[in-house]
Amino acid sequence: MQVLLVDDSSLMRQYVGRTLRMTGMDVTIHEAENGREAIGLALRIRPDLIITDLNMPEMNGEELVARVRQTTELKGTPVLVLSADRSPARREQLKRAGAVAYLTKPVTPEVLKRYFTGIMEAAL
Amino acid sequence: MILSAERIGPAISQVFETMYFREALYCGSATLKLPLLGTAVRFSGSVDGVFRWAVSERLAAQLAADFLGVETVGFDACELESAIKELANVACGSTLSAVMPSGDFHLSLPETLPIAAGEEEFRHSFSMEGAPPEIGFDIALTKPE
Repeated sequence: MQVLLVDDSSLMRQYVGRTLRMTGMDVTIHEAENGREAIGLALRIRPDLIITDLNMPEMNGEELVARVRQTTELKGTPVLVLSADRSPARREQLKRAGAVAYLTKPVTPEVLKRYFTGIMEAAL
Repeated sequence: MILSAERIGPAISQVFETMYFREALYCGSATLKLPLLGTAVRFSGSVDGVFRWAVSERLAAQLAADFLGVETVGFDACELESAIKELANVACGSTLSAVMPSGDFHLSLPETLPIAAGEEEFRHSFSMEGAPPEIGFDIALTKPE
Protein backbone atom coordinates (compact mmCIF):
# COMPACT_ATOMS: atom_id res chain seq x y z
CA MET A 1 0.00 0.00 0.00
CA GLN A 2 1.49 3.33 -1.09
CA VAL A 3 0.77 6.30 1.17
CA LEU A 4 1.88 9.85 0.38
CA LEU A 5 2.34 12.14 3.39
CA VAL A 6 2.33 15.86 2.63
CA ASP A 7 3.41 18.24 5.38
CA ASP A 8 6.03 20.96 5.65
CA SER A 9 6.91 19.67 9.12
CA SER A 10 9.33 16.74 8.88
CA LEU A 11 8.46 15.88 12.46
CA MET A 12 4.78 15.54 11.60
CA ARG A 13 5.59 13.35 8.59
CA GLN A 14 7.68 11.10 10.81
CA TYR A 15 4.91 10.93 13.40
CA VAL A 16 2.20 10.02 10.90
CA GLY A 17 4.44 7.53 9.09
CA ARG A 18 5.35 5.79 12.33
CA THR A 19 1.68 5.64 13.36
CA LEU A 20 0.58 4.10 10.05
CA ARG A 21 3.30 1.45 10.24
CA MET A 22 1.96 0.51 13.65
CA THR A 23 -1.30 -0.66 12.07
CA GLY A 24 0.48 -3.80 10.88
CA MET A 25 -0.65 -3.15 7.31
CA ASP A 26 1.91 -3.39 4.53
CA VAL A 27 2.54 0.34 4.09
CA THR A 28 5.16 2.13 2.01
CA ILE A 29 5.48 5.77 3.04
CA HIS A 30 6.40 8.53 0.60
CA GLU A 31 6.88 12.13 1.72
CA ALA A 32 6.46 15.58 0.21
CA GLU A 33 6.91 19.01 1.80
CA ASN A 34 4.14 20.81 -0.05
CA GLY A 35 1.36 20.34 -2.56
CA ARG A 36 3.48 21.07 -5.61
CA GLU A 37 6.04 18.43 -4.70
CA ALA A 38 3.20 16.04 -3.83
CA ILE A 39 1.54 16.27 -7.24
CA GLY A 40 4.77 15.37 -9.04
CA LEU A 41 5.46 12.49 -6.70
CA ALA A 42 1.87 11.22 -6.81
CA LEU A 43 1.95 11.05 -10.60
CA ARG A 44 5.01 8.80 -10.36
CA ILE A 45 3.99 6.49 -7.51
CA ARG A 46 0.16 6.56 -7.85
CA PRO A 47 -0.52 6.38 -4.09
CA ASP A 48 -3.45 4.51 -2.55
CA LEU A 49 -3.93 7.38 -0.09
CA ILE A 50 -2.73 10.96 0.31
CA ILE A 51 -2.62 12.46 3.81
CA THR A 52 -2.06 16.21 3.72
CA ASP A 53 -1.66 19.22 5.94
CA LEU A 54 -3.37 22.45 4.86
CA ASN A 55 -1.01 25.31 5.65
CA MET A 56 2.09 24.73 3.55
CA PRO A 57 4.31 26.97 1.42
CA GLU A 58 4.19 26.93 -2.41
CA MET A 59 0.98 24.91 -2.71
CA ASN A 60 -1.37 24.45 0.23
CA GLY A 61 -3.61 21.50 1.01
CA GLU A 62 -6.74 23.02 -0.52
CA GLU A 63 -5.01 23.53 -3.85
CA LEU A 64 -3.60 20.00 -3.62
CA VAL A 65 -7.06 18.47 -3.12
CA ALA A 66 -8.37 20.45 -6.08
CA ARG A 67 -5.42 19.45 -8.30
CA VAL A 68 -5.79 15.77 -7.37
CA ARG A 69 -9.47 15.84 -8.29
CA GLN A 70 -8.71 17.59 -11.60
CA THR A 71 -5.90 15.21 -12.60
CA THR A 72 -7.16 12.20 -14.54
CA GLU A 73 -4.50 9.82 -13.19
CA LEU A 74 -5.15 10.82 -9.55
CA LYS A 75 -8.79 11.81 -9.28
CA GLY A 76 -9.82 8.53 -7.62
CA THR A 77 -7.15 8.78 -4.91
CA PRO A 78 -8.61 9.36 -1.44
CA VAL A 79 -7.25 12.43 0.36
CA LEU A 80 -7.31 12.72 4.14
CA VAL A 81 -6.72 16.21 5.54
CA LEU A 82 -4.87 16.58 8.83
CA SER A 83 -4.72 20.18 10.05
CA ALA A 84 -4.59 22.43 13.11
CA ASP A 85 -7.05 24.72 11.34
CA ARG A 86 -10.46 24.28 12.97
CA SER A 87 -12.43 26.56 10.67
CA PRO A 88 -15.84 24.92 10.03
CA ALA A 89 -16.07 26.79 6.72
CA ARG A 90 -12.71 25.47 5.55
CA ARG A 91 -13.63 21.95 6.64
CA GLU A 92 -16.86 22.11 4.65
CA GLN A 93 -15.08 23.56 1.64
CA LEU A 94 -12.56 20.70 1.66
CA LYS A 95 -15.25 18.07 1.94
CA ARG A 96 -16.99 19.64 -1.06
CA ALA A 97 -13.68 19.71 -2.92
CA GLY A 98 -13.36 15.95 -2.45
CA ALA A 99 -11.41 15.26 0.75
CA VAL A 100 -12.66 11.99 2.29
CA ALA A 101 -12.05 13.10 5.87
CA TYR A 102 -10.74 16.04 7.90
CA LEU A 103 -8.94 15.39 11.17
CA THR A 104 -7.99 18.20 13.53
CA LYS A 105 -4.55 18.27 15.13
CA PRO A 106 -3.65 17.21 17.73
CA VAL A 107 -4.71 13.76 16.68
CA THR A 108 -4.07 10.63 18.73
CA PRO A 109 -2.40 7.62 17.08
CA GLU A 110 -5.60 5.63 17.75
CA VAL A 111 -7.82 8.04 15.82
CA LEU A 112 -5.36 8.29 12.96
CA LYS A 113 -5.07 4.49 12.71
CA ARG A 114 -8.85 4.11 12.80
CA TYR A 115 -9.37 6.55 9.93
CA PHE A 116 -6.50 5.07 7.94
CA THR A 117 -7.75 1.49 8.19
CA GLY A 118 -11.33 2.61 7.52
CA ILE A 119 -10.37 4.46 4.34
CA MET A 120 -8.14 1.63 3.14
CA GLU A 121 -10.77 -1.04 3.78
CA ALA A 122 -13.39 1.03 1.98
CA ALA A 123 -11.06 1.36 -1.01
CA LEU A 124 -10.52 -2.42 -1.34
CA MET B 1 -12.95 36.25 22.88
CA ILE B 2 -12.57 35.23 26.53
CA LEU B 3 -8.92 34.62 27.42
CA SER B 4 -9.57 33.01 30.80
CA ALA B 5 -7.56 30.34 32.57
CA GLU B 6 -10.68 28.16 32.60
CA ARG B 7 -10.69 28.06 28.81
CA ILE B 8 -7.01 28.27 27.97
CA GLY B 9 -5.73 25.80 30.57
CA PRO B 10 -7.72 22.73 29.44
CA ALA B 11 -7.18 23.52 25.73
CA ILE B 12 -3.39 23.62 25.98
CA SER B 13 -3.28 20.74 28.47
CA GLN B 14 -5.15 18.58 25.98
CA VAL B 15 -2.63 19.42 23.25
CA PHE B 16 0.26 18.30 25.46
CA GLU B 17 -1.54 15.20 26.62
CA THR B 18 -2.42 14.13 23.08
CA MET B 19 0.90 14.93 21.43
CA TYR B 20 3.34 14.10 24.22
CA PHE B 21 1.44 12.17 26.92
CA ARG B 22 2.50 14.92 29.33
CA GLU B 23 0.59 17.10 31.75
CA ALA B 24 0.92 20.87 31.32
CA LEU B 25 -0.16 23.01 34.28
CA TYR B 26 -1.48 26.54 33.69
CA CYS B 27 0.58 29.11 35.64
CA GLY B 28 -0.83 32.48 34.50
CA SER B 29 1.62 35.21 33.54
CA ALA B 30 5.32 34.47 33.92
CA THR B 31 8.79 35.49 32.84
CA LEU B 32 10.43 32.51 31.15
CA LYS B 33 14.11 31.77 31.30
CA LEU B 34 16.16 32.31 28.13
CA PRO B 35 17.10 30.75 25.73
CA LEU B 36 13.66 30.35 24.19
CA LEU B 37 12.47 29.11 20.82
CA GLY B 38 9.73 31.46 19.64
CA THR B 39 7.10 31.20 16.94
CA ALA B 40 4.42 33.59 15.68
CA VAL B 41 1.20 32.36 14.08
CA ARG B 42 -1.00 35.02 12.48
CA PHE B 43 -4.70 34.36 12.33
CA SER B 44 -7.59 36.01 10.56
CA GLY B 45 -11.33 35.53 10.42
CA SER B 46 -13.75 36.29 13.25
CA VAL B 47 -10.93 38.38 14.72
CA ASP B 48 -7.42 39.01 13.39
CA GLY B 49 -4.30 38.77 15.49
CA VAL B 50 -0.98 37.17 16.29
CA PHE B 51 -0.31 34.21 18.55
CA ARG B 52 3.19 34.53 20.07
CA TRP B 53 4.47 31.24 21.42
CA ALA B 54 7.71 30.27 23.21
CA VAL B 55 9.22 27.12 24.64
CA SER B 56 12.56 26.77 26.41
CA GLU B 57 15.27 25.15 24.29
CA ARG B 58 15.71 22.45 26.90
CA LEU B 59 12.04 21.45 26.83
CA ALA B 60 11.80 21.72 23.04
CA ALA B 61 14.28 18.86 22.59
CA GLN B 62 12.39 16.74 25.10
CA LEU B 63 9.03 17.43 23.45
CA ALA B 64 10.32 16.58 19.97
CA ALA B 65 11.68 13.30 21.32
CA ASP B 66 8.43 12.48 23.11
CA PHE B 67 6.42 13.19 19.97
CA LEU B 68 8.45 10.70 17.96
CA GLY B 69 9.08 8.25 20.76
CA VAL B 70 12.86 8.56 20.43
CA GLU B 71 15.84 9.73 22.50
CA THR B 72 16.51 13.46 22.80
CA VAL B 73 19.97 13.24 21.25
CA GLY B 74 20.38 14.03 17.59
CA PHE B 75 17.96 16.89 16.91
CA ASP B 76 19.53 19.77 15.03
CA ALA B 77 18.38 23.40 15.30
CA CYS B 78 16.15 23.12 12.21
CA GLU B 79 14.35 20.06 13.57
CA LEU B 80 13.76 21.74 16.92
CA GLU B 81 12.46 24.87 15.20
CA SER B 82 10.16 22.73 13.06
CA ALA B 83 8.90 20.90 16.15
CA ILE B 84 8.09 24.13 17.95
CA LYS B 85 6.38 25.61 14.89
CA GLU B 86 4.17 22.53 14.62
CA LEU B 87 3.33 22.74 18.31
CA ALA B 88 2.58 26.48 18.03
CA ASN B 89 0.28 25.84 15.09
CA VAL B 90 -1.70 23.20 16.99
CA ALA B 91 -1.72 25.24 20.22
CA CYS B 92 -2.98 28.32 18.35
CA GLY B 93 -5.83 26.38 16.71
CA SER B 94 -6.83 24.79 20.02
CA THR B 95 -6.66 28.07 21.94
CA LEU B 96 -8.73 30.03 19.44
CA SER B 97 -11.31 27.27 19.35
CA ALA B 98 -11.49 27.28 23.18
CA VAL B 99 -11.73 31.05 23.66
CA MET B 100 -14.08 31.69 20.75
CA PRO B 101 -15.97 28.43 20.05
CA SER B 102 -18.20 29.94 17.38
CA GLY B 103 -15.31 31.73 15.67
CA ASP B 104 -13.98 30.90 12.24
CA PHE B 105 -10.24 31.37 11.77
CA HIS B 106 -7.59 30.91 9.15
CA LEU B 107 -4.07 30.30 10.48
CA SER B 108 -0.94 31.47 8.70
CA LEU B 109 2.25 29.49 8.31
CA PRO B 110 4.14 29.66 11.63
CA GLU B 111 7.12 32.03 11.54
CA THR B 112 10.27 31.93 13.65
CA LEU B 113 10.19 34.65 16.29
CA PRO B 114 13.51 35.48 17.96
CA ILE B 115 13.00 36.21 21.66
CA ALA B 116 15.64 38.43 23.22
CA ALA B 117 16.22 39.61 26.78
CA GLY B 118 13.33 41.82 27.85
CA GLU B 119 10.82 39.93 25.68
CA GLU B 120 10.52 36.78 27.78
CA GLU B 121 7.40 37.78 29.74
CA PHE B 122 4.13 36.10 28.68
CA ARG B 123 0.51 36.58 29.75
CA HIS B 124 -0.09 32.83 29.81
CA SER B 125 2.40 30.17 30.81
CA PHE B 126 2.57 26.46 31.54
CA SER B 127 4.85 24.23 33.52
CA MET B 128 5.50 20.52 33.41
CA GLU B 129 6.15 18.09 36.20
CA GLY B 130 6.57 20.74 38.88
CA ALA B 131 9.34 22.63 37.01
CA PRO B 132 9.18 26.43 36.61
CA PRO B 133 7.13 27.56 33.57
CA GLU B 134 8.93 26.81 30.29
CA ILE B 135 6.07 27.43 27.87
CA GLY B 136 4.41 30.78 27.28
CA PHE B 137 2.13 32.59 24.91
CA ASP B 138 0.34 35.86 24.22
CA ILE B 139 -2.43 36.80 21.84
CA ALA B 140 -2.38 40.29 20.32
CA LEU B 141 -5.43 41.32 18.34
CA THR B 142 -4.86 43.45 15.25
CA LYS B 143 -8.54 43.60 14.28
CA PRO B 144 -10.77 43.22 17.34
CA GLU B 145 -14.24 41.71 17.59
